[in-house]
Amino acid sequence: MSKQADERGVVGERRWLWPSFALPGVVWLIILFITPLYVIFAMAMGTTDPIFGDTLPVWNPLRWDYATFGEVLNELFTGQLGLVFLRTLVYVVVATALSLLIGYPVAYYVARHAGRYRVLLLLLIIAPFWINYLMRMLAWVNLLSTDGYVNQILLFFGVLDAPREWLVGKHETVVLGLVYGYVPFLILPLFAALDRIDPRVIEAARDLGASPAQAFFRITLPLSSQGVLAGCVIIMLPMFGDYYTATLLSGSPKTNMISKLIEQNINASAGGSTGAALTIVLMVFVGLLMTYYLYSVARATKEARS
Amino acid sequence: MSRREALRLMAGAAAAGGLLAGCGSGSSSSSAAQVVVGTREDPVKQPLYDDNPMIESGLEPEKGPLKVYNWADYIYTRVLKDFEDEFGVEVELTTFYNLEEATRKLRTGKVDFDVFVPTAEIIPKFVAGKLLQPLNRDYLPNLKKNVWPMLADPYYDRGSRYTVPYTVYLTGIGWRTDMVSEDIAAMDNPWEAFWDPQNRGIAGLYDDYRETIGVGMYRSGITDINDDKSGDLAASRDNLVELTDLVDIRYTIDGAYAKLPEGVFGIHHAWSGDMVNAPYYMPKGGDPAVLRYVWPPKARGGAGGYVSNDSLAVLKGAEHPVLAHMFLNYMLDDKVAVKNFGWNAYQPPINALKPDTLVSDGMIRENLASTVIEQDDFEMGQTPQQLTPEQDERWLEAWSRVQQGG
Repeated sequence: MSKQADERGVVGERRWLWPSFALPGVVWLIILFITPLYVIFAMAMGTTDPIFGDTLPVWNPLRWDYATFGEVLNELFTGQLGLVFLRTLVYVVVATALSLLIGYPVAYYVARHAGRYRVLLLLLIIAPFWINYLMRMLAWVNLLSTDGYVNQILLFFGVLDAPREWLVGKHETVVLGLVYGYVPFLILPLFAALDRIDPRVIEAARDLGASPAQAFFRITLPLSSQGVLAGCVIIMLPMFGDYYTATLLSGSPKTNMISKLIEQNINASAGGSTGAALTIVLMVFVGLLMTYYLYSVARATKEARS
Repeated sequence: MSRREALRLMAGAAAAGGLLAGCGSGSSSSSAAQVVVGTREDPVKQPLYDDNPMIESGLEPEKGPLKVYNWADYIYTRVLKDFEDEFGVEVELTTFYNLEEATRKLRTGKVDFDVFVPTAEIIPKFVAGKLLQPLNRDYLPNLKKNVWPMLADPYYDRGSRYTVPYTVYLTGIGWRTDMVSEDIAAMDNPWEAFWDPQNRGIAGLYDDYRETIGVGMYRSGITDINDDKSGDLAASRDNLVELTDLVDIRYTIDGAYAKLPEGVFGIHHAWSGDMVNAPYYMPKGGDPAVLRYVWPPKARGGAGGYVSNDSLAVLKGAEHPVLAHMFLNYMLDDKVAVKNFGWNAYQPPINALKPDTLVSDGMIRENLASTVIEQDDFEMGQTPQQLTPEQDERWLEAWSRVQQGG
């Protein structure tokens, strides 16, 4: 056997060895993502059970019935459904921007200035998550009620002349609820990104004459952009799927997000197909948004490097 | 059999089911499934199937545990405990939050619950889908002895072939006299109160399309809630859409029993049992005497209102069917039914529970006396019946429009 063949053998072994490490991940993906996704498609293009009147999945794509899907698309572009998508998008974008405004300084402080308290502070940020999301939202319902503490405080400081009815279909209440619910998920990846920045890089910027603001905007912010991106993606995705915040803090059709419509359809026997079709539309919508976002950030990073 | 063949067979079976469901009603002993829907004017016997026999008479009860699948908070756990003690078995209670979830779970055939609590509305589907087993009435002497005659032989299941009644309910309006000045019970059409701009910000309806689309119809004086003659559905939808901006309507499921007493709402769409429960949710210092209830068919103007019942049934896949029959009979015992009502707040249709003495016995507060249900109420109100799949889809479409807002 020649030396060359030997080397090929080693290379051949490696070719199988390393990709095989991906196997558990691939299996996981197939069982917990691809299969459920296929079920959603099979439901959206499914048939109606003659007895129970609910949706039966159709597994064979050749037999798929696109009528419900077409109706949903039609409703999206010509009916009111588009409005619900737009409302959801605005809520999520505003809530993400506010979360970033709140979360960035917090993450920055904890990562760079908290010293020996940083573990304690991180713990405090995560602490609310020991309490169920539902419970925390119910607490807000009490705080925001007409005679609740929020109104009392605002009246005391003269911000309001009369108690405000926060819980009666107010957009800002739902957005604030979303911010409160998701901001810690933004802080954690941001903290990780800011913590990774070598302080000597910033010192170097200052030594070379950059003002603190210049050092922040030209060094810290670009270096943490991956954390910002990760944090935003992490909170935007569940926000798009959130329906409980609006249900608890408002309950008005004026503030219903798209997932509320999905939930209502899925929980009615006749709505399985519509609910699944809406899920697919939402998924495509979020997917497009994320693709654009990732693409533009990737381009910006490339430009910054060259 | 290849997977492809299996698919084709399944598709064929579904198509055949569709054809058969379309033809005729009435009883039949064939094994083809039919959804047979009865009305009070046109009562029906639910079909029996050869492949779904009832149990023999005179069998000994199984050792248990008895597995009960019920709505959350819809049975007094002490009553279950009493049953355990009396029959020397264990009872396992599993709960669900909506019928869709429960139906889906039962249809997988992979669960082995013994007792289920179907609404009168859904019984035809459950019988046709062969999820329930026919009852052997030899085990159920309390049915004839204790239950209102009308529900001991109900219009939706003549001869009680598959079910016995559990509770009865009305759907009306609950309100607080300290937040709503108008006497809603005295209005020509009490449902109109939801469209009163004076109730802006304090009005709530149930987040339940079957119930709430009925409210939209009643507002326009339509009482045929089970059909869509001459655009009734569209009228209801438009009425409900109007509420979004007119009074900032909110949709809840706990609004009547919990948030009305808390003062979050001043007026809410309310099941009778929710209102019986409401005083217990009154915060400290609150006065339960401000609570009122009206079921519009009994009020001055005689508008529409839902009246119906839930039932108890033995599931086809039950592993303890004899014990399950005994449980059904037990729940229809006078004392047990009254004890259960004391906690559950939904009234059992039991002769011993005299509507006129419920208030004097202190079981229901005087200001909520209108939550009490009498047998004749079934003649005054409307019972929601199983919609066809096509109707159901259109109902849901109208509901989606309402929920989109704007």
